[in-house]
Amino acid sequence: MARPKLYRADQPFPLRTLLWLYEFSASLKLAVVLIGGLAAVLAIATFIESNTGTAGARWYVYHTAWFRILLALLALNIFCAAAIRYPWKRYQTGFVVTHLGLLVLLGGSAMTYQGSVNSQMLVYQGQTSNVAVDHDSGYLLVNKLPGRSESLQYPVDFGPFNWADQKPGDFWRRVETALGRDNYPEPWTHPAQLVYEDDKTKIEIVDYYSRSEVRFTPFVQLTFRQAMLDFEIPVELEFDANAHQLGFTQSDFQGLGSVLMWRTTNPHQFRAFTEALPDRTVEGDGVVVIWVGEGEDGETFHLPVAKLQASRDEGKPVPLTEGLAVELVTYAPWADFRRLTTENKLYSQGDDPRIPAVELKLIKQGTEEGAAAEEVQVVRFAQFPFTPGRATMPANVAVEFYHPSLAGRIDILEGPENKLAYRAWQQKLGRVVSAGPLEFDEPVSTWSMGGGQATWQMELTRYVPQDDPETFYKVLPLPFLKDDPQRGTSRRIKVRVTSTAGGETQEKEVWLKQNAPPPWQSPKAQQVEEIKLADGSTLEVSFNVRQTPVGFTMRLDKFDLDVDPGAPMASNYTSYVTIVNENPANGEADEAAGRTRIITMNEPLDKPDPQGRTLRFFQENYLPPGDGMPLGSIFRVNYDPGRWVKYLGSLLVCVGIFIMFYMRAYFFKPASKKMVAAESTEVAKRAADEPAVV
Amino acid sequence: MFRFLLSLCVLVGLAANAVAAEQPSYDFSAWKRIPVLDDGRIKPLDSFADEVVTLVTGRAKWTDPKTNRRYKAPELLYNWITKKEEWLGKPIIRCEYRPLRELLLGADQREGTFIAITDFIDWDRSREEGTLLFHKKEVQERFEGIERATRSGKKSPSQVGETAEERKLNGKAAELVKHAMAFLTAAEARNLYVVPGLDPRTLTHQFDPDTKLKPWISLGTLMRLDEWQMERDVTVAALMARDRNELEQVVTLMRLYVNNEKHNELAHLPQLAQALSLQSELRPQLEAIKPALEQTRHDYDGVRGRGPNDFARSMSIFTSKLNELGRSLDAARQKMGPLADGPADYKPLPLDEGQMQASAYPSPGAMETEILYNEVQPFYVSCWIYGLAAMMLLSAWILASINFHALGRSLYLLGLGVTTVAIAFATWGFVLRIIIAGRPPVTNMYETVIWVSYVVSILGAWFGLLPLIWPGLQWAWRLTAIPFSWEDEKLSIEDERRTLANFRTPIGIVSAGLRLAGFLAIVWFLTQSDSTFRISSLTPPLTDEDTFAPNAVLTWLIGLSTVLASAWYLPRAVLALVGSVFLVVPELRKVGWAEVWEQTFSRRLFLVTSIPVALFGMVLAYNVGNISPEILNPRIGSIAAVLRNNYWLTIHVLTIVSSYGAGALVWGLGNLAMLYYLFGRYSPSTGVDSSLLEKHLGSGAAPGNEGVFSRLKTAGRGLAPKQIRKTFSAGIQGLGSGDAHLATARVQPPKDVSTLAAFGYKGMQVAVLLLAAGTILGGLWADVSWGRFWDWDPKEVWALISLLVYLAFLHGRYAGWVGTFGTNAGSVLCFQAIVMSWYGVNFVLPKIHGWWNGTGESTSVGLHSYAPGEASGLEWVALTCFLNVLLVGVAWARYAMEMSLTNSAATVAGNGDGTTTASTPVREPVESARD
Repeated sequence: MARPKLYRADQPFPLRTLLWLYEFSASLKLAVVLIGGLAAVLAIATFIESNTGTAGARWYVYHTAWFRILLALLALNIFCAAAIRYPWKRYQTGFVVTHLGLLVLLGGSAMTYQGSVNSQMLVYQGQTSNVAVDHDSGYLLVNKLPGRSESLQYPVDFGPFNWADQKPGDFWRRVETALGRDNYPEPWTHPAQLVYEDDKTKIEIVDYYSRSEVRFTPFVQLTFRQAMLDFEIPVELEFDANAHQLGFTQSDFQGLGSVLMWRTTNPHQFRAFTEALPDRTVEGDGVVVIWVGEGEDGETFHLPVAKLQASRDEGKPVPLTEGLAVELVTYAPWADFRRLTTENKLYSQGDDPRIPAVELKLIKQGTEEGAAAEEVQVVRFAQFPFTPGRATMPANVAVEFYHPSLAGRIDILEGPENKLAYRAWQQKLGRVVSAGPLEFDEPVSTWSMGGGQATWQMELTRYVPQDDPETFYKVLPLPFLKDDPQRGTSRRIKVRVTSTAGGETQEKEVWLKQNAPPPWQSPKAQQVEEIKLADGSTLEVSFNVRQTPVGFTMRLDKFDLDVDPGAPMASNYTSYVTIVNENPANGEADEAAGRTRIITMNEPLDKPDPQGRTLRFFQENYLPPGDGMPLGSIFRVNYDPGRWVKYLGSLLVCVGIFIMFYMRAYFFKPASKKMVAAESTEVAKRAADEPAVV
Repeated sequence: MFRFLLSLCVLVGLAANAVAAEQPSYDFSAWKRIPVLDDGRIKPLDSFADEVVTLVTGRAKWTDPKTNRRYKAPELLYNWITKKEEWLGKPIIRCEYRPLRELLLGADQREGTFIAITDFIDWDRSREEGTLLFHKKEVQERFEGIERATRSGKKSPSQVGETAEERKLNGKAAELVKHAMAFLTAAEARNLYVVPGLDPRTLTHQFDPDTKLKPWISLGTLMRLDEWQMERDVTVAALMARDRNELEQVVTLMRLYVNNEKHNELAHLPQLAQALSLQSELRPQLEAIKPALEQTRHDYDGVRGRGPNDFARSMSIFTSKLNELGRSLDAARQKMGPLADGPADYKPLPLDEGQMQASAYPSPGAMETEILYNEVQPFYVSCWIYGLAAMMLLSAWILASINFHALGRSLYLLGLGVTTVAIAFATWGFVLRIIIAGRPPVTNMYETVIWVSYVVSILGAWFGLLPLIWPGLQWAWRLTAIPFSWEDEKLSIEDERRTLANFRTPIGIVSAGLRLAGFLAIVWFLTQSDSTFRISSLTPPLTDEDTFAPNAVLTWLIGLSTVLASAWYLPRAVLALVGSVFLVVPELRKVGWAEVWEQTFSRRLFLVTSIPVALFGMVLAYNVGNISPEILNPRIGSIAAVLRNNYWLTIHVLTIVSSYGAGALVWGLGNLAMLYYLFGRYSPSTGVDSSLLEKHLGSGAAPGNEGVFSRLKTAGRGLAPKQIRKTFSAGIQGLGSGDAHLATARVQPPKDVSTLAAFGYKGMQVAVLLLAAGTILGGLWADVSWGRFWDWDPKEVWALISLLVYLAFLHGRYAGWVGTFGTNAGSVLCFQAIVMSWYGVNFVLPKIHGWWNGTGESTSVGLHSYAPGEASGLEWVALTCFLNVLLVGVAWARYAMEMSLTNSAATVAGNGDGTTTASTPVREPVESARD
C-alpha cells in the first residue's frame, strides 16, 4: 500500500506523537487485532447467551461500556484508515465507500442506543389499549416529597441479576471454589443508590431483586427424588392465613399421600415428635404412643387401643411413669367433630375408620400423699397429631395416635429455634418408616415403593422461618433463571426513606414491586406505599414499569391463528385492530377515525406518535384465553432513531464491496497471452504473486 | 472423513442391492399417486409411504428374510394396511443396538438388524388391555420407568438413567417403541388422510393448533365405517348418523365438541348437521371404499388365479373411487357454511377461504411432479454423478502430478464433461424441489447442505472452466445487447472478426424481443402471479394516507429492484448461455485450442477441490437424511411461521447460504493446500546450491531430489527434541510475518500451494461479498419481522463472526501478516466459524446451558432456534472440526520444520544471508482497493 509515513524524526515531539497516533489508529495491524478481538468477544458472548439467556448476554457484553468502547475503537480505526489515504485514487472508490458505510452503520447503531423504544403492547380481544411497556426497564416514582411540587422519577435499570448475586469477581470465585479455595467469605452487599437527598429527607434504593416472590412464613420447600426413575418432585408448604388458623398446612404428593407441616414452641413436643413412634406394625384399632419427658431423656409407651380397651373394661388405668396413668375414654373410628365441639365429648358416627380418634384421660397423681388425682382430657386424631387439646397437658407429655387406616403422610414439624423435624408414615407397612431432624443438604429416606427398593429421598431445599410474630409474609429473591417465563414482572426494589425532624431521625424501608399499567395488571394490583416522615407528613413511593404512550387507542377486533392443514404448527398470526381514537387525551371514542388495520407476521404497522416518532407495531405473540380473560395479542412496539442511518450504512457497505469487485472486473477474466507463456514455465508462483491475474 | 468413507460404503452397498431378484411385479402407480394430507401439505402417497417406511425400517425399502422378496415403500405400506396381523410377526422394525436386542430377545440374538412387533410385545394382551404390554417383566418395568421419568416433558429418554450405557439403552428403547407405534398407526391407516372432511371447526379454522384436528379423513376411518360411532371423525359421523338426534348424541359422546369451550365448539353442530342432507349422495361413495380395497388385496394375493393384471385394474378402480369421493366431499364442503337461523347459542362462523383452499382436494395430475422427484431421486443420483466426476478429476490430478501428463489431461477433460452433467442434473433436481415445495430450497438443515454443495460445484466450475466458456459467453452476452442502447458496446477491430459480428443488429433485435418477453414474464411471475413466488407488488405500499411507512417502502424498493434486476438480466443470461453453446467453438478456435486448454488445465485445482467438497455435502445429506432425519430432514414439510416468506427466503437466506458455499469451496482449497504442505515436496529455492545443502545434510538430503529413506531420515532429524524446539520457535517467530521468510528460505513449499492460496483468496472475496450482503439483508428482514435491525441474536452474531474472521485474514494478508501459508490455513480455519453459525447455533449453543449446570438439557437460545434437537450428530461434527484444525496444525509443523531445518543447514554451510537470491519476490504491495 502506498501510504506515506507521516511522522519523521525532525518533527517537534507533540506533532510527532500526534502523527504517530494517527498512523497507529489507521494501521492495518490494529484493524486485524480489533476485528479478531471483536470476533472472539462475540463468540464468547454467544456462549454466555446460551448459558444465561439474552438478558444475561446483554448485561455481560452487549450493553456494557467496554463493548461500546471496543466498537468506538473500531470506528476510529476505520475512519483513520480511510482518512490517512486521502486524497483517494480512483481505484480506491470501493474501499472508501465501504469504510464510509461501516462508519455510518456504526454511527446509526450509536444513535439506536440513544432514545430508542423497544416495548410491548398487550390488547385483549374486544378491548383497547394505548400504552406500551418495557418490562426490563422501570422507574421509582416519589410523590408529595416535602419541598417539591412535582413528583420525582428515578430510572431503575438494574439488569437481570439480583443485587445480592452481583458480587464482584463471581467468575474467579467459581474458579477458586473449584480449586478448593474460597477467599470471599465476608458478607457482601451491593452499594445503595441514592435517589434524593436534602437536609430533611433522604431516599435510597438499598436492594434490588430482578426476580422475586412473596411467601407466607414459615415456608418450606422440599425436593423428593427417586433415584431409580431419576424423578424429582418439589413440594412447597406455606403457612398462609388459612394454615395459621388451622395450625397446619398440607400439600398433596402425587397420589402417594400428603405432606403436612406443623409448628410447636414446646421443646418436649418437638422431641416427642421423632420419638413417639409405634414400635411395631400398627394394626386393628391403632396404637396410642405416649411420650413422657424426664430431664434430658424421654420414655415412650406403646398402648394398642385394644389393650387400652381391655384395661378400661377392667376398670383400671394403665400406669405409665410414676404418678402418671392413662385411661381410654372412647375410641371413635369416625369422630364426630360437631358433637366434640358442642359437647366436648368424643362420639363416633359409625364403624368405618374414616376419622379415627381416641379420647383419653391422663391421670396425674398429686405429688403429695393423699392429694386428689388431676385428670386431663386428651383427644387425639390420627390425622391431626398436633391439634391442641382443650385442657392443658403437662408440658413434658406428648400423646400420639396411630391408626392403620391413616393414609401415607410425611409430617414436618417446626420446633423452637427454627429447627425442623420430619416423620414419614407408610400405610402399607403400617408404621413410621423414618423420622428425625430435617436439615439442609441432608437428604433423608422416606417412602419406598415396590419392596423397599425405590425409595423417595426427601431433601430440604428452602426454609423461610417467620421472623417476627407480626409479619406473616416475606419478600424473597429468586435465583436467576435463563428463560424466565414472567420476565420482568416480579422485579422489586427496596426503598429506604430517612427523614429528620426536630433532631429525630426516622428510617423506613419498604419493598416495592414493579407496577404495570392495565391491561397488564389491574389497577387494584398496583402498589403505592405511603411513608410517614418524621415531621408527620407522608410521601408516596411506587415502582413502575417504563411506559410509552403510543398516541392513540387501539382495539383488537379479531385475532387469527393460521395453521397449515393437518400440521401442529402455527403458520401465521394476524391481528385485526381498529384505531379507535387518534387522540387519547380527549378520552372520547372517535369512531370516525376508526379504521381497521392488519398487523401480521413480517408486516408491521407504522404509526407516528404525538412526538412525531414513527412507532412500528409488530405481531409478536398472543395470550390464549383463560382466567376469565379473552384472547390477547401482544405487539412489539419499536422506534429506532438510527434506523435510516443504519440502512444508509448498509447500502454503502454493499455498494462499496460491489464496486471493489466491479472495478477489478478483470478478476474474472482468463489470463492474457503473455501470462500464459509465463505460466507454462512458472505457473503457480507467478499466479501467487499477482493474485489479480490468473 | 470417516463418515464420508462410511457414506461411500453405503452407496456401494445400495448399488449392490439394486440388482433385483425375480419377483412378481404389481403395478402400484395408481396407489402411489393417491393424494395424502400430511405434515401441513398435500403430497402423493408415495412420499408418505417413503417417510413412514423409512421411520420404521430405517430404509425406504425392505427385504423379507424368508422369501427374499424385496418391497419398496408404497408396496410395503399397502401390505401393512391390508394385512396388518400378518406383518406383526415379520421382522420389520430396525433395531440394531446390541444391548437392546439382548434385553428384548436374549443374548443369542444380540446381533441382527430387524425385530418384529410380536418378538417383544405381547400383542394379544396389549390389544385386550388397550396399552402396550411387553413379554418380559423387566422390559415392561423399564418402559414404565422411562415413561414416568419423561412425563413432565423436561427430559428425553436418553437422559434417563444413571450411567451413560443406561441412558443410551433407554434412548434406543424409547426410539424402538416410537417406531413400533409408527408401524401400528400406519398399519391401521390412522394417519393416512386421503379425502377432505366436513368438520366445520377445521373449515372455519377457529381452533387451536394444539388440538391437532385434521381437515381430512383417514383411510383407516373409511375402512372401519361399521365402527363409525367409535371412530373420532365427525365427518363420518355426520354422514352415517340416521338423524340429527343421533348425530348430536354421538358427537357429544365423542366429547369432541364439549371439550373445548373457549371456541364454543358445540355451536358448530347446526353447521355439521347440514351434512345429513348430503347423505344419500355421499354415503354410497363412502361405503364403496372398503370393498374396493379388499378387492385389490384378493388380486394381490392371487386368489382364484388372479394376477398382476387384475390387481392393476382393481387398484385403479379403488383409486378412482377414492378420487371420486374426494371430489364429492370437496364440493360438499362448500355447503358447510353458517345457517341463517340456528339455536340461541349458535354463533355462526363463515368458512375460511384460506383454509378451504389449503386443504382442497388436488386436481388430477397434481402429484406428478413429486412422483417424478421421488422416482428419480435427483439428489441421490447426483451423489453418483458427482462421485464419478470427483473420481475422474482426482485421478486426473494425481496422474498429472506423477508425470502421466497425457493420461491425466484426457481424464480431466472427461471429468469436466461429467461435472457439467452433474451440475445440470442437480439443477433439475432443485427445480423440481422448488416446484413441489413452492419455496426456495433453503428452509432446513438438509436443504441448506445440498444447496451449499450445489453452490460449491457451481463456483468451482465457474472458476475452473472460465477460460473455456468465457470467450463464447462473453461474446454471446455482447450479442444479446439491445442494439443502439447503452448495452451496445462499440466493437474493436478485433471484435469485428468475431463470429456473427456482421449480424449483430438483427441478432440484437431478435434477442431484444425475446428478452422483453422474458422480462415481462418474470415481472408478472414475481409480482402478479397467483403462486407463492409472488414476492413483491408493482405498486408501493402507500395505501395509508396518514401513515407513510418508510420501512415498508424500502422493503418494497429492495424487492422491486430484485425483481427488475432479475427480470432484466436473467433472460439475457439465459440467452447468452444458450448462445454461448454455439459460439464457444468458433470463439475458442480464435484464441487457440492449446492455449485455452492450458489455461483451463492450470485451473484444475478449483474443480479438483470443489467437486469432492460438493460430493461430500451431497453424500452427507443423503445418508444422514436417510439414517437420522431428525438432523437432516429430507422431507418437504411445514416450516416456522416467520420463515413463510419467499421474499425474504429468496433475498436473505439464499444469499447467506450461498456465502457458505463460497466458504466451503475455499475450505476445500485450503485443505488441499494443507495436504500439499504435509505430504508435498519442498524444492530448493533457485540460486541455492543444492550440493552445498547435500554436503551438510548428508548425501541425497537436499530437498527436491531425495529418496524416501533419506526423507525419513531428514524427518527423523526434524523430530529431535532440540530441532523441534527450534522449529517451534522459528515457526512462532514466523507467525505474522507473511511470506517474508520465503525470500531468505533455502527451500520453497510445494509450488501448488501458492496457486491454491490465490484461488482461496478469490473465493474468500466472494464469500465476504455474499456474507456481508446476506448479513445486512438479514438485518433488514429482522427489522421487518421482529422490529429491530440488529439485536445480537446468536445467529446474527455468528454470521457477523464469520464475516469478521474472513475480514481479519483478508486485512492480515493485506498488512503482510498473512502469507501463503496463512491464507491457506485461514481458508480452513475461517470455515469453522461458518460451521458454527450454520450448524452450531442450532445444535451446539442450546446445549451449553445444560452442560454448564450439569443437567444436559437442551434449552432454546435466541430467535433462530427453530429446531434445537436432542440428536444432532454433534460428536461427529466436533470430531471432524477438530481433525480439520489438527490437519492445519500438523501441516504447519511440517512447513515450519522444513523451513528451519534447511535454513539452519544453509547457515552452517556459510552461505550467508543475502547471498541467496530469493526465488519468490517479496509480496508487492497490493492496491488499497482490496482492503
